[in-house]
Amino acid sequence: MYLAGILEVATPLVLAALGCLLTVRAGVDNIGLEGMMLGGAFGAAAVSTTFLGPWGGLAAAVLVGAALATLLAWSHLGLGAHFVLAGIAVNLVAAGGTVTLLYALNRGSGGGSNALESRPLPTVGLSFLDGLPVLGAFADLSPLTWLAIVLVPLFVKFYFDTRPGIWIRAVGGNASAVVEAGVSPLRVKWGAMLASGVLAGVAGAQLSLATTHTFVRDMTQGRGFIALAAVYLGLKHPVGTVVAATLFGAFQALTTVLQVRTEFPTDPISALPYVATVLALAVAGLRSLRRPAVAGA
Amino acid sequence: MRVARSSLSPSVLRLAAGVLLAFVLILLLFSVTSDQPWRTLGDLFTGAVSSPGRIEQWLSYSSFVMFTGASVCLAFRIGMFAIGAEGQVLVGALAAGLVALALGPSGAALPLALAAAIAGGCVWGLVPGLMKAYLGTDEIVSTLMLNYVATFLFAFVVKEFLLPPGAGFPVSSFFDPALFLPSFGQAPAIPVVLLLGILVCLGSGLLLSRTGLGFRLRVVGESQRTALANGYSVRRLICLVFVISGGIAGAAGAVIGFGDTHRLIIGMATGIGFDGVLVALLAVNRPALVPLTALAYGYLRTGGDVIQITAGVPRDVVVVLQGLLIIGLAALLRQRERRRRSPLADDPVEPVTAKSEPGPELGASAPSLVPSTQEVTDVPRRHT
Amino acid sequence: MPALELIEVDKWFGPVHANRSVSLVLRRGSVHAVLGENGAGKSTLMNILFGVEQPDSGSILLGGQRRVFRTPKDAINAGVGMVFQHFGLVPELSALDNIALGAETTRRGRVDRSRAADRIGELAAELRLEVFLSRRVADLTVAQQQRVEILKALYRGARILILDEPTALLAPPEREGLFAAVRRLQAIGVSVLFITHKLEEAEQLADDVTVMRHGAVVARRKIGRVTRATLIADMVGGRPAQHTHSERVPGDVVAELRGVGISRGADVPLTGVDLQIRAGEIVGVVGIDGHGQQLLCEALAGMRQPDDGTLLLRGNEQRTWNRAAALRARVAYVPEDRLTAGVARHLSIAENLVLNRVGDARFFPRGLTARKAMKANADALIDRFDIRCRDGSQHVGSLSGGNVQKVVLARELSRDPRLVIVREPTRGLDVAAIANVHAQLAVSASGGAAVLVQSSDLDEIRTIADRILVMRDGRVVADLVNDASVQTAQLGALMLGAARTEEA
Repeated sequence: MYLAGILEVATPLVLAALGCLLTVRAGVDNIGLEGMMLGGAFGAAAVSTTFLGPWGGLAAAVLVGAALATLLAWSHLGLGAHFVLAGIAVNLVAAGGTVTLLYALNRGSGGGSNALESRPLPTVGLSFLDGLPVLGAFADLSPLTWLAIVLVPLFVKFYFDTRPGIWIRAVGGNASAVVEAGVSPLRVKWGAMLASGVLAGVAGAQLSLATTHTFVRDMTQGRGFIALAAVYLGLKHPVGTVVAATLFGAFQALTTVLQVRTEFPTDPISALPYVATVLALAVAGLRSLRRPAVAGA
Repeated sequence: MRVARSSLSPSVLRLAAGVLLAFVLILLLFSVTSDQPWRTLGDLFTGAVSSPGRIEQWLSYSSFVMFTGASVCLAFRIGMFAIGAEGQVLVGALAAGLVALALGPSGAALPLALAAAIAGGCVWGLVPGLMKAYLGTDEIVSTLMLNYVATFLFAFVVKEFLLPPGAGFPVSSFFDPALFLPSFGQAPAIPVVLLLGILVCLGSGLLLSRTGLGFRLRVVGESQRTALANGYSVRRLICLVFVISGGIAGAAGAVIGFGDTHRLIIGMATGIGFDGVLVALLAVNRPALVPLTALAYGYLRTGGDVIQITAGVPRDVVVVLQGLLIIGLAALLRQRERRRRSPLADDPVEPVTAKSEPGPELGASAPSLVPSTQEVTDVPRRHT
Repeated sequence: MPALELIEVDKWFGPVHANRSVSLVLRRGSVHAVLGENGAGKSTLMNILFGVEQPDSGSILLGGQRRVFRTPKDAINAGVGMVFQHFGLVPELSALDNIALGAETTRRGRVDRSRAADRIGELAAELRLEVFLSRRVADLTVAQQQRVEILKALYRGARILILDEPTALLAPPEREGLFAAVRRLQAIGVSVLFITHKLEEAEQLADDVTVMRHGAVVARRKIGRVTRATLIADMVGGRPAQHTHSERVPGDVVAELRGVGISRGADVPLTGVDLQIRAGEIVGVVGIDGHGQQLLCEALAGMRQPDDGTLLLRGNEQRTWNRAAALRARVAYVPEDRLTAGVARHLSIAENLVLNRVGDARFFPRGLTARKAMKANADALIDRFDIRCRDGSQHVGSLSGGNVQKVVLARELSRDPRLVIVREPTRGLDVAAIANVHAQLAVSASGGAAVLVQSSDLDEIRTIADRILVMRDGRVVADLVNDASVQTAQLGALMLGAARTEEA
C-alpha cells in the first residue's frame, strides 16, 4: 500500500495549489509559489533545530511564506511590477537567499552550503488502524498531512460560503462589480496572496520537516509550478485542484518508487503534469474557439 | 491623470535609494557569510577581471545571456509575455548535442548542429505561439509548463541514450574537439561566442527597427486592431515572433554546449532563460542594448563565482540581487510607461465600472503587465 | 424637493468637452429619460452621477444637499444605484451572491444566504422581478441578469435608480417586463433616471425628458405635452442644411453590394444590402448605433467577409475578401476608434504614415525600411494635411486628437484610393479639425474616389454627403439624394422607425 506515501507527497502540492487557486481566482497567477515553498522549507528546517523545535519551525515556515508573499504583493500591487516578473523575482530571492543563509548557518559548524538537518515534526496517527488494508495508511502520518486532509473541506466552505471567499472569486470574475459593491479589489488580492504565501510556507515545512528530515538547496524542484498546473488542470475549482494535485502527488510517489526499485526512466512521468496542463490549456482554447472569428487572420 | 505628476527627479531619487538599499542588503548578506564583508564586496565587483581566466568566463557567460536576452526582448516588444527561453535553450542544446554526437568530427557537424538547435528552439516556441495565436491560450502558463517539459525531456534523453559507460553523473560523452567554439588571442582569450552574441543582439535590433517584418511586429505589439485594419496577418506574426525568439534561445543551447560545457550536462543551462529576462528588462527591451546589460550582469555573476572561492560565500548571493533588480526594473518601467501615456488615452487608473466592448484582440487580453486592478497596459516594451 | 439635481456639470476628456454645463432635475418618484444620440454625453453624465468620473465643475444635489461622489461606493451609500448597459455582475457567482456582494450578512463567519434570499425574495415579489437566485449569472438570460442588477441596487437601499440603455439587449417581451418593473419601482417611491436613444421608450415610460446633443442639454420636455416631431427635432438637431452642393458628378460604379449579409457574431445582423457607390461621390451612412452601419463599413473595408451575397469592385466579384485584399484593391479605411485601431501610438508619425505600405518597395525595399523615403513622405504629408507636430519623428500618441485623425487620413487618402470607408471621422474633434477633415474627404471625392462616411452626427452627414443611406435593423431603409428637400428630422424619423409608425 503506497497510499501513505501518496498522501505524504501530495500534501505540499495540495496545500500550495489551494493557495494558488485563491490568487488565480483573484486574477494573479502566482509564479512565486516555488520560492515561497522553498523559503518555507528553509525557515522550517532552520528554526526546528533551535529551542523552538519543529513546531517553531512550522511557525517560521508560515512567516517566511507570508514574507515572500508580501514581497510579491508589494512589488505587483504596490509598485506595479507585472506579476510574472514579480513572481520570478520572488523565486530568485528565495533560491539565492536560502542558499546564502544556509551557508551562513553552517559556517560555524563547518558544514557546507548544501544541506541542513532538521528536527522533524512528530507523526500523528490513528494507531488502531495499523495493519488494516487501505485505512492502515492513516496509522502514521505527518500532522501537516492531517492538516491538509482537514483543510480541504474547510477550504471548500471558505471558498464558497464566506465573504472573503466570495470576494476573491468576484475580483477575478469582474473587478468592477467588486468596486461597485464597495470592496477594494486591491485588498482582496493582497489577502489572497498572503493566504497563498502562508499555505506555500506550510507546504514547504512538509518537505523539510516531514517528507524528508533535511533542507537541501532547491529542494522544491518545481513543485510550485506543479501546484500552479494543478489549478489549471483542476479547472480553477477547489475540488478539481485537489484532485489534480493529489494525482500529481501520486505520480511523484510512483517516480520515487520506480527510482528506488527499478531502472525504469522516471523523467517522462515527472513531465506528465506539465504535459497534461499544456494539453488542458489547448483543449480549453479549442472549446472557446466558437467565438466569432477575427478577420485578417 | 494623477499618476502623471511624478516628475523625473523623484524617480531618480527612487533609483538611487534602490541601489543603496541593494548595497546595504548585499553587505548584510556578506556580514553573515563572510569574515571580511567589505573585502568580499570588493571581490564581487572586481572578481570578473581578477584573472584572464575570469575575464574569459565573464565574456563567455555574458555571451550566452545575450542570446536569451535578445530572445526575451523580441517577445516582450511584441507584447507577448513568453518566458519559455529556459526550455528553448535546453531543447536547442539537446538537438545540437544529438546531431554533434551522431556526426562526430565531420566538417558539416557544427553548422548542422547549430541548425538543429535553432530548429529545436523554434519548435519549442511554435507550440505556445500557435496556442496563443489560434486558441487564445495564455502564453505565461504554457511557456512555463513547456520549460519543465523540456527539462525532463533533456534529462530523459541524456540519461537513457547518451550516458557514456561508467559515467558517475548524468552527462553525455564529450563532443568532438573540432566542434568546440574557438577563441581569439590569449590570456584573456576572446571567445567567438561573444561576437555571435553581439551579432544576434544587433541583428534582433535591426530586425525590429530596419525591416518590414520588424515594422509589422512592432505595430502588432502596439495595437493588434491597428495591425488588422492595415491588413497584417496578426496571428501569423504572433506565431512568427514566438518562433524567432524560440530559435534564438535554441541557438543559445548550442553555443553553451560547444562553447562551454562541451557535452550535454543536466542543469547545463539552468537559469539562463530568466537571466535573459533580467538583461532584457535592463535594456528596456531594446535588443541592441542587450550586449551591454548582459556584460554588466555577467560581470556581477562572475564576481559571484569568484567570491565563492575567495571568501567561500555562495555565489547565490548574486541571485538574490538579481531578483531585487527585476522588481526594481519592472517597477521603473511601469512608472515610465504611465508617464508616457498620452492625455487622450483613456487612463482608467481607477477601476472602470462601465465595461467597454471587447476589442478583437487575440487571446483573453493583451498582455498587460500590471496589476489588473489598475487596468493599464504596461508591456515592458520600449517605445522609441 | 427634487430627488436629485445636477447643476451646470462640466466634464472634459483632454480636448473633448463631453458635458457642457449640464443641468438636470429628477423629481421625486418620477421616471426621467435622458434622450440623445450615441456620443451625446449621456453616459459620461451617468458615470459622474455614480461616482465613476469626477466632474470638472458643477455640483450634484441629493435631496437638496450638495454631494460629492468620489467612488461608486459613495453613490451607493447615498442611495443611488446604477444598472449598466453591460452588466456589472460576476459571471462565476450565483445571482444571490451577486446581489449581496459586499453587503453580505454573516452568521458565525459563514454567509447567511437564506436571510439574504428572504429579503431579496420579498423585493423581487413586490416588483415581480423573479430570478433564479441560486443559478450562476453566466447561465442566466440577459433579461434575468438585468433583473439581478436592479435587485442588487435596491438591495443596497437605492432610492434613485439609473438605468443605462436598459433595453439595448432585450427582446420585445422582456422590454415590456422591464417597463412594468420600472412602473412598480415608481409606485414604491423610487426615482428612475433612464438613458436611452430610443424615442418610443422615452414616450412610453418617462414623465420628463431631457434631450442631450453634443454634450449639452438642448431641451427639457414633459411627456404628454410634446409631439413626437418636436422630440425628433430636439434629438437630431433641426439645423438648416448648410450643404454646399458640390460640383462633383458621380462617375462609374466603384463598389457594389448585392444581397450582402453578415450574421456571424453580430447582435443585429446585416441583411440583404444592395448598394452602389460611384466614383466622385460621398455617401453618408446614418442609423442608430448598432443597426448595421458598422458591419456595412467593415464589409466594404475587408475587415469582415460577408456571409451572404456578393461584393463587386469595379464590376469584379471579390471571392476572397479580407483587409489585405481590400488594400490591394486600394480600399482605404479610417476606423472609428482612431487611437486604438487607427494608429500605433508609440511609433513615429512617419512610421504611422506607411502602416498600409508594407508591400511598397518605395518604403520597404527588399524587406528593409527606407527611412529617408519615409521621412520625405512624412514631410510631404505633414505639409499637405496640415498635421501640427514638431516633425515626422514625433510619436503619434503625443498628438492631439485632430492631428491623430489627420495622420490617419493622410495615410489612407494619400494612396490614391478608389474607395474610402470612413467611420465617425470627426468624433471628439474641435471645429477647425472638423473642417479640415471634411475638406480632405471632399478633395478625395473630387479626385475620383468613392467615399463612404458613417457618422452618428447627422449634421455632419448633411454637410458633406451627396447621398444618404439610412440603416435600421441591419437593412438600408432609405437612400436619399442629399439636397434641400431632405430634412434632418426626416432622417431621424427614418432611423428611429418612427416614419413607418406615423404612416400607419
